[in-house]
Amino acid sequence: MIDTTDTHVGRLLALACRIAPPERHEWFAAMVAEFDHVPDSARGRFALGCLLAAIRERAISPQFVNAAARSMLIGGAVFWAGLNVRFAGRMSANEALVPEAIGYGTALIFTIGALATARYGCRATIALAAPLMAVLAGGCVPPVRKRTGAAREPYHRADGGGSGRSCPGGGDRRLRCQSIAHQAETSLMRLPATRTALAILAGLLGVVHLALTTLVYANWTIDALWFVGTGMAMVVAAAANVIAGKAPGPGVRMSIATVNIAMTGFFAAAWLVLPGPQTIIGGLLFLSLALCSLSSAAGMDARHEHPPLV
Amino acid sequence: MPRRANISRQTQTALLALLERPQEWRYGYELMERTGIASGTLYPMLIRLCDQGHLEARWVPSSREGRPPRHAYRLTTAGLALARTVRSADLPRADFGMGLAV
Repeated sequence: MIDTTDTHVGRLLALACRIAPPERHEWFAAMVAEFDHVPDSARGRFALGCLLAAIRERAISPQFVNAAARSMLIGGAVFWAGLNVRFAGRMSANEALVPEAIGYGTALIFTIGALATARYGCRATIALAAPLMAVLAGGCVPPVRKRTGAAREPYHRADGGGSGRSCPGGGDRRLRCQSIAHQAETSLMRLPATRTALAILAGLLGVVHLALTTLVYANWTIDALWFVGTGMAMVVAAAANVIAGKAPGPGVRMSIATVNIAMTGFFAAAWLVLPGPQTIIGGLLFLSLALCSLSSAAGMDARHEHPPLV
Repeated sequence: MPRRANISRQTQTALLALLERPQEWRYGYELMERTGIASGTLYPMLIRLCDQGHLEARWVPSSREGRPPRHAYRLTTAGLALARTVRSADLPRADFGMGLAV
């Protein structure tokens, strides 16, 4: 075997061999063997090509992709646990026992998750995260279903007259029209359901914010007033999002979108002085609500421009 | 009409080069010279073709005294069938000539 460490080009080729995934080592040994037959003038480009090939093979190697995903999960869990510890520390300074316990509890759960992921891989993450997600989803779905699902009349009816609409023509064409209209209706129904779920979560966060006032502030000060004001703003903005679901006017939808964008901006500004998990959650909730509102307004505009077949 | 395989132009070029003398074992640098495909593209392509069973590879003793053995490549029966579906007219240039042998 040739010595690949005596020149810069040789070092490049040796680096390629080190980067290459183990299952491809034979191929990179082949490249090293071939390097011996490459003229001096072309060796640099040959070695550079080998290095690029090694990087490409490493990037698509299943082991590498798995390790990268695992590292990201562990890093994210540790980061989130750190933020929760910081949040709990701040609550501890204010003698707020319940949020402090929640903060430390969350940090503990995510630390366990990070350790389990490091030890057992991504299947441990899925095993730990699935019940947590199920609990969260279980808490959100019933109120949404109660409001959107049961109260609405199903679109498909045996006589083809669902929602009072009809298609020109008969037979297959009518069925096709019904199918397309049903798909469009379903996609439009999902958006309000998501928005309502997000609004309920934002409202709950506002209520928690309000409830914490007496724990965080012993006296009625200007800071306590601002704290209450923030909670009230969240509750009112969340209520406006829920109510806006029943208001069909495009002006109302744009107003709600503006409110949500303003709340997102508020949370972004709050991050500068309070970089805690509660700020991230609040900001993400209102950002999602803003996106839902904008999508809904755009969807309604398109619906007005292209009304369904009557 | 049978459906043609979805393969890149560079792979088609390499397959045609290998089809020229299908019974002979060809070396990596020789293919690079023949097709003008860079090493960073050619070797991953050879790896894929080998994984898919279109190419076989083996180590052959070097013709030079005291040099390490070289890796040589040849189309399999499946590779020959695939290469025969590639038409030279589909390629931007039919004669490969000396290209960027890197």
